[in-house]
Amino acid sequence: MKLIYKYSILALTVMLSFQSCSIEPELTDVYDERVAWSGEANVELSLNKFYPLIGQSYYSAHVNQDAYADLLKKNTPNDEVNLLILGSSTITPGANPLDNWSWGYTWIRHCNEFLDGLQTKGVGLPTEFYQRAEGEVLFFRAYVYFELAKRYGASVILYDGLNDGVGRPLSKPDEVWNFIAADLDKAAAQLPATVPAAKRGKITKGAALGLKARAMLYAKRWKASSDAVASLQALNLYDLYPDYRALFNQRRSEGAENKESILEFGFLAPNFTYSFDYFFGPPLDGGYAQISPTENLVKEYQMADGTDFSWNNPVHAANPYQGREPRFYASILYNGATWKGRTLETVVGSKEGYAVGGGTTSTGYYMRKLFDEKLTDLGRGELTFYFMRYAEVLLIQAEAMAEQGQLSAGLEALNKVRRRAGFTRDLTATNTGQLLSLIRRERMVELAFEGHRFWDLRRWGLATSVLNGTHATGVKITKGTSGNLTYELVDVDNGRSRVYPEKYNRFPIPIAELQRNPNIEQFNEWK
Amino acid sequence: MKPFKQKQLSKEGQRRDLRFSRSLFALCLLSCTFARSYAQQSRLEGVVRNATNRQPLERVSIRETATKLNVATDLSGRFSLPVEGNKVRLLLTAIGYVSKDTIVTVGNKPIEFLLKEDNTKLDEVIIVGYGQMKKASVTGAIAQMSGDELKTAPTANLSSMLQGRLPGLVTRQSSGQPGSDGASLMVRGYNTLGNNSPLIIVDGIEREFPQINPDEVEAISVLKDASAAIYGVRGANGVILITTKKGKQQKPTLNYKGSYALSKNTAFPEFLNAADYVKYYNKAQELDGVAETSRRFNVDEIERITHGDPQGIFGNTDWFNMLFKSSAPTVTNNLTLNGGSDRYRYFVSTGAFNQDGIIDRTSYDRYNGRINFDADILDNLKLSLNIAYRDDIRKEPGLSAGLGNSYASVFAQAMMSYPFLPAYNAAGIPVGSLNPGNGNQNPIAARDLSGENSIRSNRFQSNLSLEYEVPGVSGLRLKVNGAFDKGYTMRKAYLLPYQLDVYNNATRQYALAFARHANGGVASLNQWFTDSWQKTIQPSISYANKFGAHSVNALFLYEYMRTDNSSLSGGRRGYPITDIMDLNFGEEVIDNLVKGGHGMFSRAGYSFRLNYDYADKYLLEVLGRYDGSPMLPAHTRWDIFPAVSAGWRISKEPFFKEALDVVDDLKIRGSIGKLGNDRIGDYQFLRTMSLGADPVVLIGNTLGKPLNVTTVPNFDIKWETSTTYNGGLEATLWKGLLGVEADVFYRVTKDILQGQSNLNPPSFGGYFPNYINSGIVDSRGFELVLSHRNTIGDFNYKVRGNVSFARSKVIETTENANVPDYLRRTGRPIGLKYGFVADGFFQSEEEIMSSALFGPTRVGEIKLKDLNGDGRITFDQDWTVIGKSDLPEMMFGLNLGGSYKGFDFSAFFQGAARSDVALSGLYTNSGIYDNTFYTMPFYQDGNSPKYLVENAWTPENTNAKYPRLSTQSAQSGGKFSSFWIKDGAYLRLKTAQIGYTLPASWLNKAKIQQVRCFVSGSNLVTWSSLPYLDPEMPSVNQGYYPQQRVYEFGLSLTF
Repeated sequence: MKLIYKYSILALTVMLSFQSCSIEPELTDVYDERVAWSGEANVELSLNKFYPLIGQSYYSAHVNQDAYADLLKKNTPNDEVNLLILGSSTITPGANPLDNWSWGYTWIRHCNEFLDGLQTKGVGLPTEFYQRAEGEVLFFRAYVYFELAKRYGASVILYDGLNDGVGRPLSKPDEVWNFIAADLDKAAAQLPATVPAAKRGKITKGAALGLKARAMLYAKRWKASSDAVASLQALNLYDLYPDYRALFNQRRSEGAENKESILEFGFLAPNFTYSFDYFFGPPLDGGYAQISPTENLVKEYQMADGTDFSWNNPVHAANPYQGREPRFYASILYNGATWKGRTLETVVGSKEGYAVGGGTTSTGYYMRKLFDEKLTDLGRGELTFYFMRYAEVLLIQAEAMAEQGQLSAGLEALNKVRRRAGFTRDLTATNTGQLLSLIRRERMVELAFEGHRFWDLRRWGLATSVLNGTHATGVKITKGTSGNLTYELVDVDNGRSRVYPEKYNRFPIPIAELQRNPNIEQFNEWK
Repeated sequence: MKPFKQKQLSKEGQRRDLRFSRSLFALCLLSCTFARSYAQQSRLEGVVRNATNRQPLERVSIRETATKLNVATDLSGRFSLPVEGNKVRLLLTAIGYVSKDTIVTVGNKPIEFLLKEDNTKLDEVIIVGYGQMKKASVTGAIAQMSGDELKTAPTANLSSMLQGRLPGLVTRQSSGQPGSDGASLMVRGYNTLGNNSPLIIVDGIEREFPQINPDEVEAISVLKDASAAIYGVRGANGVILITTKKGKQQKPTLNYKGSYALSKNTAFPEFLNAADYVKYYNKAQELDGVAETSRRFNVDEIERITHGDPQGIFGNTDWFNMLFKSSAPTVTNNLTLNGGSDRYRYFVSTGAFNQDGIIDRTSYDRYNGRINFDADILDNLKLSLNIAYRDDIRKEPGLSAGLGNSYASVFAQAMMSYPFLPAYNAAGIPVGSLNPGNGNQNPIAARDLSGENSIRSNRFQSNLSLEYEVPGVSGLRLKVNGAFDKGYTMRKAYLLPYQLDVYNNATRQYALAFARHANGGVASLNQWFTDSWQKTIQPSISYANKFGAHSVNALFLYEYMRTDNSSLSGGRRGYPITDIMDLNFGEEVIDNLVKGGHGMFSRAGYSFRLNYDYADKYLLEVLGRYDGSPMLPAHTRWDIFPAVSAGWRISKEPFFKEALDVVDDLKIRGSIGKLGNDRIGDYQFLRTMSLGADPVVLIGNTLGKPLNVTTVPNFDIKWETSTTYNGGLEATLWKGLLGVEADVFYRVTKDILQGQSNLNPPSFGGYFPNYINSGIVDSRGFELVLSHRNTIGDFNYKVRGNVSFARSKVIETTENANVPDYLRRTGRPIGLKYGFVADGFFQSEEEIMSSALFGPTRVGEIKLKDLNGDGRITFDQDWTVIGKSDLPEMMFGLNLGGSYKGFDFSAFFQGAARSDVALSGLYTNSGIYDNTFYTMPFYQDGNSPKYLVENAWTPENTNAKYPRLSTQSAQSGGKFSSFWIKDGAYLRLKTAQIGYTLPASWLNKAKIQQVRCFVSGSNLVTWSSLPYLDPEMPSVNQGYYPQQRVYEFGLSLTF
């Protein structure tokens, strides 16, 4: 039996020696969280992750939103957007293509996680850097809350820190707007007014003020809005870019000075590009032509002399694309336009002509603004995207002033925008209503395809009339045997009426939130 | 047979032995002693045959009691044994036969020995965790099949060959694509809400399920109950143990097996031809209320499409007929060499498997090699070395041919192509169908011109073990088993641009354009390389001894395993010449395809097993593992997983023998044990950050990457534990005429690792740990195997049927209290399908007006039940369970086999029941709910199966099988309904084979031992409720690679 002991001990020794084989996990593709706060450079990396919020999708989301409104039409009849605007599908608490609840709260959490980490682990960072980093993230948090507020009537849940595992109730709209204003005020106080060229694209004081002006417009806090514009103007940094067309054809790498840009998002080929032209461009470019401008928009582009265009005017109707204001030629591809070295043909039967079914235009037009005429590989767009530009700020100012009854200040802001567009004669108005309708038309034209229209119509209370029971129109152009063109206005909604019930003005709280958060209740109109 | 001739043959055989031995010597420098045992003086020659049919028996072990010399019979049943004296006592043993203990007189005539078949199969060896055991002593629920059974099926992917053969193993083969046609395997159904994959052990080491030549497989066994506790934290989902063949003590025996197989689709629906397409499309538009002038096809076009188009714009193309070949060949060639002496044994195998797909340019080629070598170096020191190598390559077109869910796959393009167009224009350029929203389509061009996607993997696997019998202590052994595996995979995918002459329906014009994927007409290449290596070491002590009637068997084993991998990838675009596609020749580096990384994983554990039996009658086993998992934090990392089982061989009791003498053997057994499961993502208990792969912002002119918070950690995460109970019975009756094996089980899994995003409101923004230990699932079921074998004259036959059933139930899960009862997952089986309940079609406007609706609804669409009675159909309130899981609850197999003289045949029926297939609903790979080509006419503006439009609702055909004929997609929520749930039950003639072995007398001159030719087939007949589709198809798909029916012709030669 001694042998047994001897061998067993030997064997046990051998086996125990394997215990030194560690099974402690090694980090191979992620870092310990301490690296995030170990220095300014790494904190900058954490800040980078918020920037896609202001523009990585380029204008794709915006043109889709303009298609929910009356500016653009999706060319494929069964496109999700068409199904909704024509009532084939409806917004419900379970399904809402314009819902951003989960998206929003995921970003709110990221913002709060960053702010929490900064407070607890970033104490050693230099004060100036600390303040700027905090200011940037406060800006992002305010922006996400603003996007939520836009959709849910500012009746949303507020989190100023990480959640504690208890579902919170909805806050009142006033509380939400106060929260957004406070974040932006603090951001504006902590952010630098300017950044060096090497930091172009970073959030600045002006961006925080501009966003505040925009948000306060939605809050109908006219004074707060115009005050924010005034503070922005007091920085003396911003002005309109002289050429509307050239404004939308800039690349970051070209480094042109652009005082109109308050907050922009740049791209750089080949590794940081977008495919906007690929999905929306005309077919002979190689594009998918998913979307086309409506005649509803096109007819709003005035004649160059400042008079209105009208199909009832025989001179206009005979040559509808002659003598329009410059923004028309910068924004719309029409039959006869020169584009990428060809003369664009949208007449019935031509390769890029009017047709119903998708793959070509269903309105007789293609977009031009936002496309890059020099682009050959349509998947590699790199034009600068504007999150906020000074023209919008001026239109915000005009509206806020008009609402406060300050007609001349409102008109001055409006006319600044129109002068840049090439108009020589200033507009005038004798009452608030008149001025507001001028501003509304100007927003439609100046900010076309930038994603404002749908939300503007909702906040003006006009969506239920403009987007309900109506039909968008297009132009069907037929070429006669002698080459003569006949223009026929057609219903691009194929005889179906658009549907926008009043309750769409405030989207329903998503079902998942209602089911899992005992402290929340659905809005009355959605019960 | 004349004795003289016999002797001569035998010498001939010996000379051959030497030749083979010498050639092997050159190979492995080990053969100097191979021929040693053939040195002889006086010899006893004999032949062993089956007592009933007189067939020679190979692998019979003959032991001379006095000298303790051992030999074995060769393939012709012959043996030769050196003897002293003229009377010897021999013990003849062979697996599956009753042993014979006999005294014979040595003469100059070979002696014939007859062995009776032992139908009780009690001495069959069962592979268990870290060892093997006699079947009679087994107390756990373990199913096993021998590699020989695989020979009755056409050669294919090993996992799909297991379907229905092992009771308790639940399988599903959802693709027929070469190289991807394996079956998913699960043991006893769902066990957890998380990962349900069983542990795979190949030759004692955790490895991927082997892509090996089935001829190399000795046995496959499945540990279904607490017997898997020896694998601790990896055992909860069951364990599949695969062992490869070993060399036998016999003269070198060379076997060649070759076969040629042809495969065809099992089922694929017929799609519309040109004339039917325009007819039904226009009819659909008419029903949709589209004015005649606005319809897609005008009268003239209908005429030209239906009766031929003199202008040449239209044609009539059956894209599927062009896509599929009529049949696809598979060629298999295998060579094995098996032999050895009393000290050395070797099994050498090489094989080639070359499979072409039913779709051109899809293929799978595999080359295998293996050397399994065993040596008794000293009387008490054994060495065993296994070396295996595999090289396989899978190819498909650049645009994938697999599941049609992927963007622009060949299948998706075939479904979306218009049948009314010609395949090629007058200039020979492929014609494309412009599909609004989806771009242009041409499946044939996509198949032939889009480039290639190939995956080549190499695997090297080796085991070396040394076993030392400690002198002086009988039964004490020390063993160390080490394994080193190495693998690399090279994936190369290139996409080539090509031009199509694209027909635009809207403008009615043709225009040349690049295919949809080839933006700008640029060719691109992406290449990935991954390299992995795994090291395992298993030192162990075992002890086995008998003390009178007490028999003891013990094992203590430590295991440490470490897996490492590293990867590298690169890409380029812009190829001036596309004839040779390599990174070298691309003009522009695609920066974001240049990547590389590494990973590592290790685990360790202490396994133990103690077996005790008294008089072969009372059996007791205690086993388990003290296991560690790197997935868990230090304070929950180590735990013990114990199991105990016991058996009682009642038939060994004297009282039983007297009472029931028809029962040869009866054992009842039971087991209980705890098992674990730690399959979650890495580092769930650590706060980590990850650097995004791609830039997300341009600051100045510098691209910036994001640093993201990876997960919210759970500091107290621990493993799931399953407690499993099993009761079993094994019996043989009437001298083996009837065999019965039955098992019932109950298993409960607690602390299930699951996400909690279902529980927390979206307003938390995901700020909670990804995984928590929550949830309880139980499952219960049974397996029953009945077998019968008999011999009537020269006719031998056997029948073996098995049924298994397993049902899971969610006892507790992360489910919010506000979820209505009919939507709850709690209390129901795992994997159920949820949706609206269909209630026929709307037949009138009045009916629509008076019903609850989901959205705008037309007559002929699917009517849905308003479950909560609020007058509306809503996602959140009116969904309920509408179908069972894809995974069947019940599986069955029926094996018929027999032989008559030189003929042998087998047939295997396999089936499944209690599962459902969803034709539309939730795409499991994308999480999106939608229609499919099988449920909506002209889905995505593409083609439709004929059955769907022919039997669609129209005002003239209101008693229809399918809903309204329409071109519009808004179908009132019907796509989420029970209407599209079909019973997934099926029965197949899975395999059948007829073989003929040539009479030995014909072959003697050719010096060939055996020649067998055979014809076999698989998936020959299928009975199911899905007449147009295969019942094992993936739920909700946009076309998939159909399962294949195979006919194989083969030949086996043994020298």
